[in-house]
Amino acid sequence: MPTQIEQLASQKNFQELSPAECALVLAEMPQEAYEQLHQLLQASRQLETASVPPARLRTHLMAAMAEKATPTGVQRFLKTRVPVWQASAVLILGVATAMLFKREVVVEKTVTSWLTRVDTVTLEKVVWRDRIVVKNKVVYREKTLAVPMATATQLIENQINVPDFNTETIKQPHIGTSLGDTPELMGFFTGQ
Amino acid sequence: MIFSRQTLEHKSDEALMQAIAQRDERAFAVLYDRYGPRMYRFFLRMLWRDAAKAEDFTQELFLKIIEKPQLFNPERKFQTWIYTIASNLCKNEYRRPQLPGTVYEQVAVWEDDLPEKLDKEMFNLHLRHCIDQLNDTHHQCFVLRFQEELSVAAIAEIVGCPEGTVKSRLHHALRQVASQMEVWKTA
Repeated sequence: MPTQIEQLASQKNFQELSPAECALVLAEMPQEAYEQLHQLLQASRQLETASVPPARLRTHLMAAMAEKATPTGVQRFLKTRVPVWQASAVLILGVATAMLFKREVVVEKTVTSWLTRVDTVTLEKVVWRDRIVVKNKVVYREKTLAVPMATATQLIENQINVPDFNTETIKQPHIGTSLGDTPELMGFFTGQ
Repeated sequence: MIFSRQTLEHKSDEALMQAIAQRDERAFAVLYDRYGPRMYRFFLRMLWRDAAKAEDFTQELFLKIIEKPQLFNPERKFQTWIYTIASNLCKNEYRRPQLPGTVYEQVAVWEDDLPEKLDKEMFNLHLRHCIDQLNDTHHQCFVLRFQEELSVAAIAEIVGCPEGTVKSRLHHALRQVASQMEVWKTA
């Protein structure tokens, strides 16, 4: 039996055949035999077509596949394990890099410094022909203020805390000691 | 590359296998929906309609795909490959002594067309019996050609023999079934 007839029998009944196909079939077998073959092949194809696999089979297989499936980016990140030395090396490298590229911001702020000045005290006295002039030495005492450097964070916050220094004493500057208040010294000069 | 489910449904079997090799779960789901029921029916036909065995074999077949997708050669046709694996699984089963049982299907309660239904049921029962009577090689070729509707060339590749041999087996198988069904024709 030619393969062509098998193919025709599996697809068409005798009435559906074209004249050429009819001639081909009838050359090989009677119409009745062809009809029986057609019926047989149609019925064979229909056998077990209503059977479907149980749903649990798909569930089991999908679970098996899920175990092997590619994890998502987050899952992969969380599941990845690295040796301790690698983690430590990365940490050290990170810290070193941060140190290397750390930028220090120096903020300068003008601070008015107060100077304590001692006024000159002059005492002039004529003793005989000599004119004795007593001068107190002018003393300037400079106060050096240490202003802490601001960090970048402090710069952003724009809050630089400059320590207050005591200006109370500056408001009432020391005016020195008058010779009048020290008779011994006055006596030395005046010879009295 | 990971595809969306919609995209995957339009992919070829071979492309799906490549995605499965890259552990794409959705690709496997699409492939199973495409071939799962089909392979289940194939095992039913090959294993004397033993539903439990058909389920086990279908599971084993798809587990092979999950475990070793790299065994599939993308240059080969997937359908032929999966039927080759399935046929090999059945071959192992054929080697064991079998007692093919007769399956009686439950017929619905009385209806006007019950005689016709019974007639059809009896016809199918007899047809199944005739197909079961075929020897292993003829049975395999018959199922692949007339039930799974594969081409002769594909069957030749699956069973690993020349097309001429397949045609010869098909001819003998069909003649045997037809001759046994003659009884039915005359009844």
